[in-house]
Amino acid sequence: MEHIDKSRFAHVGESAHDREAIARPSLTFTQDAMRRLVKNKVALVCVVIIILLTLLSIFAPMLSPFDYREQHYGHTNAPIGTVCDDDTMPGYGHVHLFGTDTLGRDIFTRVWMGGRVSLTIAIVSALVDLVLGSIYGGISGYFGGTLDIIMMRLLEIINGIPYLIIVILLMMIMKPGMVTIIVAYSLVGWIPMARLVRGQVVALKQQEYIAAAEAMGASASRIIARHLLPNTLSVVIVRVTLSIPSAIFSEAYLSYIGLGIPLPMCSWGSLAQAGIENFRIYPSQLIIPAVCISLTMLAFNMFGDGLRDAFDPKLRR
Amino acid sequence: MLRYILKRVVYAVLTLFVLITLVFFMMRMLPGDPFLGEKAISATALANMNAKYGLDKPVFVQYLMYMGNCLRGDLGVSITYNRDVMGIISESFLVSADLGVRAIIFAVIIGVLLGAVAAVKRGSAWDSFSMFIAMIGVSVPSFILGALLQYFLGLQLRKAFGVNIFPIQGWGTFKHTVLPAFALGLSSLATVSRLMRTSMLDVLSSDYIKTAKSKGLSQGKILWRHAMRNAIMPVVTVMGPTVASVLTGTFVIESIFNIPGLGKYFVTSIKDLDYTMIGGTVVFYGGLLIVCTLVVDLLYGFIDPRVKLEE
Amino acid sequence: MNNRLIAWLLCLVMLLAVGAVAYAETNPNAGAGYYPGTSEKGAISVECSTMSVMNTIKMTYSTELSIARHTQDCLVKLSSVDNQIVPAAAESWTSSEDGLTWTFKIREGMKWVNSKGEVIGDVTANDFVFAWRELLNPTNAAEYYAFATVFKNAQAYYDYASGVEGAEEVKIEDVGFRAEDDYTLVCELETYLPYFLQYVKFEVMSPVYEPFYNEVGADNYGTSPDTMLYCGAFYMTDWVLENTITTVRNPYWWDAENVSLEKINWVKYTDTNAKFNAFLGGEMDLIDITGDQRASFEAEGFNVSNYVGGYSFYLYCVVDDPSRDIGNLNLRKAISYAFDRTQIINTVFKNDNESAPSFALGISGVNTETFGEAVLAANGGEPLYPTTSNEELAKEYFAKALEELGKTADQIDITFMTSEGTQNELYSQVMQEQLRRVLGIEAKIEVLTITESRARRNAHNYDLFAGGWGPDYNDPMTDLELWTTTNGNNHTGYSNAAYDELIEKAKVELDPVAREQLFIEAEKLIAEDLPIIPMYWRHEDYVVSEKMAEGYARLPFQAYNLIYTKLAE
Repeated sequence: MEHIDKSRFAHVGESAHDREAIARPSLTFTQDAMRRLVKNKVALVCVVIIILLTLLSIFAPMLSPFDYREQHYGHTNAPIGTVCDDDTMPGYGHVHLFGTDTLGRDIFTRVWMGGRVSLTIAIVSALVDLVLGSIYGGISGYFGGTLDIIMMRLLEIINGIPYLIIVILLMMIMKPGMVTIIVAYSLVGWIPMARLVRGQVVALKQQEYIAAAEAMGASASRIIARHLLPNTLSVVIVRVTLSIPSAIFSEAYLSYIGLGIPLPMCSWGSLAQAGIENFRIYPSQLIIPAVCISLTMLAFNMFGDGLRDAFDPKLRR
Repeated sequence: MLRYILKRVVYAVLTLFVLITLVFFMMRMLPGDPFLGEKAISATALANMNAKYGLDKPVFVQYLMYMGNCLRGDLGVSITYNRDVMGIISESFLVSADLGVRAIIFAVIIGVLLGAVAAVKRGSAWDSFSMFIAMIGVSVPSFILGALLQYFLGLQLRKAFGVNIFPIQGWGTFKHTVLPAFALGLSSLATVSRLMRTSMLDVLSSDYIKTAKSKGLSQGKILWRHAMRNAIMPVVTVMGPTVASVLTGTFVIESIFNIPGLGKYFVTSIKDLDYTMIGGTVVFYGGLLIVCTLVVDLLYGFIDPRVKLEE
Repeated sequence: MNNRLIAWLLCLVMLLAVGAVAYAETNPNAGAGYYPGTSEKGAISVECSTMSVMNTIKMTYSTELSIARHTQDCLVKLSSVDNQIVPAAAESWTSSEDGLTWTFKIREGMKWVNSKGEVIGDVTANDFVFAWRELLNPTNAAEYYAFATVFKNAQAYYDYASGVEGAEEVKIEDVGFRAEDDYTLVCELETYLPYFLQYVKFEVMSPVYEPFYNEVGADNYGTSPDTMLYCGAFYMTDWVLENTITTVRNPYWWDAENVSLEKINWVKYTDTNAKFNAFLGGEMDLIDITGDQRASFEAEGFNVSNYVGGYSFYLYCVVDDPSRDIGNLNLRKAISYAFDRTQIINTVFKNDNESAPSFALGISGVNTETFGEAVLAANGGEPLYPTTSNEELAKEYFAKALEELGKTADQIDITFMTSEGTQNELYSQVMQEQLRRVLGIEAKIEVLTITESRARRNAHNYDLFAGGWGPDYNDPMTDLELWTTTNGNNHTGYSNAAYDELIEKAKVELDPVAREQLFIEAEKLIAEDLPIIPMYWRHEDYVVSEKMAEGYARLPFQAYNLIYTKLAE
């Protein structure tokens, strides 16, 4: 080995400027999360699917030559791709892409009309779930003691009242429509979320970092919002993605008992319900709305997973 | 511990009391009256009917009488069926609970296993498979799933092979329970496996598991002794109310498979305005719900060492 | 990659499902010998809807009455062959010249049987007297007590016993029925009733064995198979509430030698697909079917049956509330002419339902087969309500209505109130669309639970409500009486002195032809005033398995009569 003479090295001295230089731009929590989200290709594809479904729901009924409530008695229960041969109709000569239903209404138009209703209800309800549930569960779990016991008993009471009674009473004071449905769902929909968050918080609050935050004098609201809730995020996101289909189906159930969207309006849930009656004879009437629901579900679940990976502080590296 | 349980029982009774009171007055606000038939009844006959069920007295007096009877364990006589409400509930609950227990065992065991395996072997085919099952369970509503099972496994299987493997409808033998229990359990299974997977992932990345690993504990021991116990917490939380609702049956599954369970009465009693039956189902379901959450809270203390029950 | 895999798998399953359904539809065995029915020997499984109450005194639903028809014997019954009155518990009967006193000779040797098939006692005239007294007993609060009020002093007794203010004292012994001896029953009527026997055939009027009834107590009687006795062709052995009732052949019944059927399982369904699958899979022998199911049976070449129960369906209109647009006669006429009834039937029901040419079907006419035919003939063969849409007339009336109301078409406010149910909702949507297309009215639809819709109907708080009426007895009076001013079932607020007078006259008119003429006049008045808009007469479709060879009947007033069913070998 060649000997290297010490004199070949020189002390350059300490530069305050270089030492303080930032090698990488500093990232806020959100920026970091977004960066990781964008890297996740599956999540992006899911966002595209959701956007596509939303766009179709907004524009397809506008562009369709058929009206969602127009009944073509000449070709009821028509198979996929039937050409409209009724020259009294404005859509004469156009193709029923998804066929027609039992009253001869164009299923393509109705599916996207239903998409408007179902997607709105699903997203709004899930948000309400998220907000109400995590605040309630967070407070109840963090403070514990008598407050916790009372808050949890309140949940049991709300849970114990038959849903149908709540809905029928609500129906008497509100006009049937989207807002009523969202209110009806939200009245009880947030309860599982609250329980879940509370359960997580009860377990988490014993941990050292909470004790540390408390010792440093952080307020309760800050501890709940900044320390506890973000750490429950992974479970919460899963629950939110699960509550999206339950909102869609609960809408179908509501339309079955009359609080649904006013007829002849439709939703994916009500279309699927109508399809199941005759699925043996006209399978496409069930499969089309069912695929829409499943696709939405799939997209939201995958997206939820992506969000979880991106936002969960425990997975942050 | 005992003090805690005692305290909770007192709260449970109070909760039930508030619940019954609330429902009692809410159901009186529902439109219509229980004797509204398709055809008109004379005023005299209507008065006789109201008198028979004590509906001619002021509502508050009725409430006091109902509460008194409840305390004595008497839920009254159903207006629709002219039968003892207690008798109807106990008869049909046996059926619903039978089915429900099967569904829950199926959902919890398979769900926890699927979720745990998916988390441990994250990104493998197992993971995809369990996610797929969860996706089906969540995205296919029970009214569609039930009808499809009945059609393909009940009817088509029989047509194809000429043997009666799964009966299409009805109740009585083990065979009758397979399809409905599956349909009833699948959505819970999906929820369980999804929650289990995420919380297992959380746990596996936590420090104490790494510590256990570095101390050289075997994989199996780590999973069973350390990871599972903590990961199962969210599942337990969700299962409390789910058990209560699955045990008391669901209207949809019962009507698809024509099962004489309790679930339908939750719906029909309200539609028929059968006050005594509504009251009975609420007392029963509410009571079960409260017991289930109590059990869940107690389980917390046993399963998760981090949680201490409030003394 | 895994996620993509899942997506593909999901698609694959969907495709498989489509394929499987498509495959299943190409059925190679279609045609004869395809639906052999249930496998249990000597037994059949039959669909039955409501069966909540089995105590004959407290029954109300037609399906409950149907089961009672198999387990109890009234004085007389309807023949399963021609639907005429034939002897049952009464061997023979005579009536006085004025038609007010009837004497029934009760068949000797009839037995009361319990749920185990053991003989408990003899059926006597006293059992009828006891049953009818219980029917009139206010503490039982029997909804159909009114059937017993045909007897002399019965209504007065009921009012007195119920504590109605100002009611004079009447003893139960003074009510017009008594047992002369064990096998002779004498009945006195309040007024002349041409169709009195139609009343006593009603299953609510079945006998009850007093010692047993008192033993189990009035409140417990009939709440389970064990707390009831049977004197009919079958006896009940098992009852799972809201699910199944099992009835077994009664060897002690007077005509048991002609009954070859061993057992009937009455099964209740709430899901139309479930019973359809059950029938296809050989778990049911008789089910009611929907129009789409009918189409699929017909495509396979399997025979579908149907029967007419005498039901007429129509829209109730609130006519006494001037604040509602529907109160305008010309608007109602416009709506009636705008409907294409044939199209509604073809799209919604897809069966043999008839577009209603007049309101009441009337099972029997005097000289015609049905009363409806007599009305049609009287109107020169022209239906009172159009079978297809008459747009010209509709628009003409609509223009008049708009002028009277001082509104434009889009200001017209009309809501269809309907009770829940797939078919109800489809029905309302077709009517809604037809009004939109022909008249340009944007009508709304309100779907309510059945209880709430009835409450709103009785309170006259609706515009249009789709309802129907089934006859209680075989005479047009049962239908036409509805629209008199004071009738409890007239939920429209319609009041026309001329109409009331016609019905009053018909009640006392003894000549059948003149009486029918009065009814025809009444029908024409309805068509002029339109308190209701008649829509269709119902035909009910059902299928039976090849196991049930012959002998069963589904006819007006006897939705099921399976007593003499012969099974295929």
